[in-house]
Amino acid sequence: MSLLELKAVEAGFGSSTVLHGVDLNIEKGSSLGVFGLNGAGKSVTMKVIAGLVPARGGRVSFRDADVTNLSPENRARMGMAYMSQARQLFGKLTVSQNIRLGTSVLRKRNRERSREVVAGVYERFPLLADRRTQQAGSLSGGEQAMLAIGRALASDPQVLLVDEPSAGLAPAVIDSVFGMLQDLRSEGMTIVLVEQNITFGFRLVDRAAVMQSGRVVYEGAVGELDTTKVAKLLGVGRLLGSRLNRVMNERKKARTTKRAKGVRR
Amino acid sequence: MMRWLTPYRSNILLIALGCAVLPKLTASAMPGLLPGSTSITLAIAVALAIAGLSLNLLLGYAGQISLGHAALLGVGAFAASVVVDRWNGPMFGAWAFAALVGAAVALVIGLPALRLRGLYLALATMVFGLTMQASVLRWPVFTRGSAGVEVPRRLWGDRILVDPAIFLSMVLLMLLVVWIVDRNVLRTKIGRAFRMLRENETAAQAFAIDVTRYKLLAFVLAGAIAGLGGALYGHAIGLVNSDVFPLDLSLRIVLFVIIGGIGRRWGVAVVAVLLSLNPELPSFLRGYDLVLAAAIVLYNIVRLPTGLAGLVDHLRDLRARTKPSDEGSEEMPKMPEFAAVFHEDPSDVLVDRRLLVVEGASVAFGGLRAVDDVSLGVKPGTVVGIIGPNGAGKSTLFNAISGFVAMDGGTVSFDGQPLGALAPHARAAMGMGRTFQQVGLARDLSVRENMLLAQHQHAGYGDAAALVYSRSVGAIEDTLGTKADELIAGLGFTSFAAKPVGQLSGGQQRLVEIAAVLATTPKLLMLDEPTAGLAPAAAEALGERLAALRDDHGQSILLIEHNVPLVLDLCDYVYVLNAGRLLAEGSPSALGRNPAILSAYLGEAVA
Repeated sequence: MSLLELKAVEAGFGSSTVLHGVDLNIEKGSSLGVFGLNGAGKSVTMKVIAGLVPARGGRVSFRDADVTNLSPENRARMGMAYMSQARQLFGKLTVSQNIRLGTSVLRKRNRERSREVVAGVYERFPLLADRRTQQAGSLSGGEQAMLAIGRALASDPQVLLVDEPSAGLAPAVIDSVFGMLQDLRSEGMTIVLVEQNITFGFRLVDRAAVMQSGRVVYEGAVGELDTTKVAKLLGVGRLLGSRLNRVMNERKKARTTKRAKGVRR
Repeated sequence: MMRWLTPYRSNILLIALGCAVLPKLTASAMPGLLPGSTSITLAIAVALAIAGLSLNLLLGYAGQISLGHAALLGVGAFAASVVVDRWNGPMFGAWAFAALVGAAVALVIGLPALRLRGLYLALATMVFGLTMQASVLRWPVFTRGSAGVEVPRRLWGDRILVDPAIFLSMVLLMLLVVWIVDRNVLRTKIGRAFRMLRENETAAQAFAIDVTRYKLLAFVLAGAIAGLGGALYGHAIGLVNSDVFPLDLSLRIVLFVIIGGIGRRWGVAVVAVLLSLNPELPSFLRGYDLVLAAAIVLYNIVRLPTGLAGLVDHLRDLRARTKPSDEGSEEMPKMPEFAAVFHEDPSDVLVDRRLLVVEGASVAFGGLRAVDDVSLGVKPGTVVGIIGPNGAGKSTLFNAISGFVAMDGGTVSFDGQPLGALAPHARAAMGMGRTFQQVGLARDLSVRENMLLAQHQHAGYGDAAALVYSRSVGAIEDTLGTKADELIAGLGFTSFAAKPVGQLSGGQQRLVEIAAVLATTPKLLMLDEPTAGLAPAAAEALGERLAALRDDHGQSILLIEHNVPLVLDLCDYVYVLNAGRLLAEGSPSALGRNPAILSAYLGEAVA
């Protein structure tokens, strides 16, 4: 069942058009990675999904409803959680205040539910529970990334829209962030990811869409993608190409073993 | 045709045309043009349009609000009265004098603006306006209190100008002069510096723009124009006292700018004239004019934050959008080419000594020691990297070196000179060029304008020359423009040179920023996470380009970077920072052999 669908979406700024008809389809419980060169329109696509940039043409549907003209806050209420490149935590507020802000899209009367969700977040990230009263701005980079994910989860979302979680983070921290996302994915969370770090990006997602000049030019299950074509579209050189190969081979192998198991069963 | 019509020539043409056409136009056509309005009401409206342009320059370009503009008009009007009424001088002299006095008074308002921002500046200027109205503008010596003073339209000696149509043509001519000056401001380094102030004061300093100086210059220019507008206003109404310049008038001028479109010359002028004409309302609306005005303002703020000019832009964009565009078929961007920048001989950098020496640098924020006793150096022609986990103090160290953060201890010397507490813009002028984690460009300006902006210190003309756009200014601007186009072509960004930087993707902005900093021809290029947000291919290419800059042009580079493979590949020397302290330093190969350090602080992804 398709949870989120983009049909021929166009968007732009002023007289220029950035997205020239983007089609994407995200099924419930799946994860989609959007890749591409700088300026291909990846972040704009995410913003159109979240409602932060209006679509000029086409249709965005979410949970079988047309949300093309819905405000960002109403989309959040329907279960979209958007994590921007800049993370945008409230540095002067405490960890628990930041998390409670995440719950603000849940229904006011539903105190019970909010409490449950927040408790779930702290259970998942005990470190955040320990730092509850600390100012978000005083957390380390990794803890801030954790808080950003925690705050997104506090809205009890149906889909996580994650725009470049690795930007500006030290490698060790990127590792742990993707660990958290990986856990979420295996628990069945639907994830849409924009990521420049090929290794981490292709390791996390089930499906990949490659964008070029505002269009999706190549799409498929990660294990079935033509690595050479992806490398060419992403313009990766020798060094990165070998890394991409490694990841793709890993995923292909995982896919065949999974299939083999399925057959045996 | 376009080549022939240089800004210099178009200015002269406009003035000549204005002198030739305006008097005839006002004398013959005016009464029939706008029924019900006399030449004098029109002259008042035009004088207020000049006041609107004054505030537009201050608020729209430089981003400094003033709620005390009526006081500046008042000062101008009374100054004019002193010349024509008391000294029996000609009114042209009175206008010049009013502009001078207006500039001087505005300089006084500008001083608090160096410290105040936003709401506080609005309050301070408002209080200034009220105080002026209650004190100086009521001072019997100058203004004969509430009785007021006359502002006769004296041509010279005993000749008084009686024909209001001729007066109107003179006022229109003055509007034209202000218009041209305003246009000159916008197309020279003055306007670029103003707009950079509005957008990003911090980054402005990194482009060697002296923020203090340009803020004051904005106030002085706005004051001169407002003084002139006040004088014309005084001449138009003939008799002025302090009640003519209440707070209400200041607010009206603010409305002109907001409804016309902040920073949009023609929108502001049109709205100022229209709102000042007090048109006859149809009978059923009479008495409701304030309600109507309030409704327009509210609608404007809610639905049209960019004002009338913004509305026109929007309509034009809608039309442009329906045309097929070739943007979609754009090919893969070229690898960025930065090397086109250099017009300087690399040999004028010290070769035998270290270019940058930091000794024992410490920066504390409250109890937190963000940078603790760090020493490092950069030799000319080398690339030096700083790595370390988030929150290690890397960016703070950068800010201390470039002067944005005061150090609590230690010294920085650059190019053989100790820097002490030198201001950031002065360090930039010495040849420290830096980028910021949050891209330090003017988002509302186009890529090309940002490239011009970056060459601020290479725009070797004075402010006065810029205001009249002399021939030499034109020549220098042409050179800067050629350079800017080269840089943009080097990036492969020619197709969106005219796009506002804010509309580019994050990675593209980062590349534009690096090219812009290179346009300052820095002796030391300081990059704060240059590959953050770059596609892997672009990051790889950037690494190669930086290496080429070093190898082919002797460029010295200091960079903060999380992309460890890139750092190890590119850098000649690396410092590892953790919790504000230097943890290790050495050549990449030495550090690479010490995986304990790398894995402990950077994780397994290093390999």
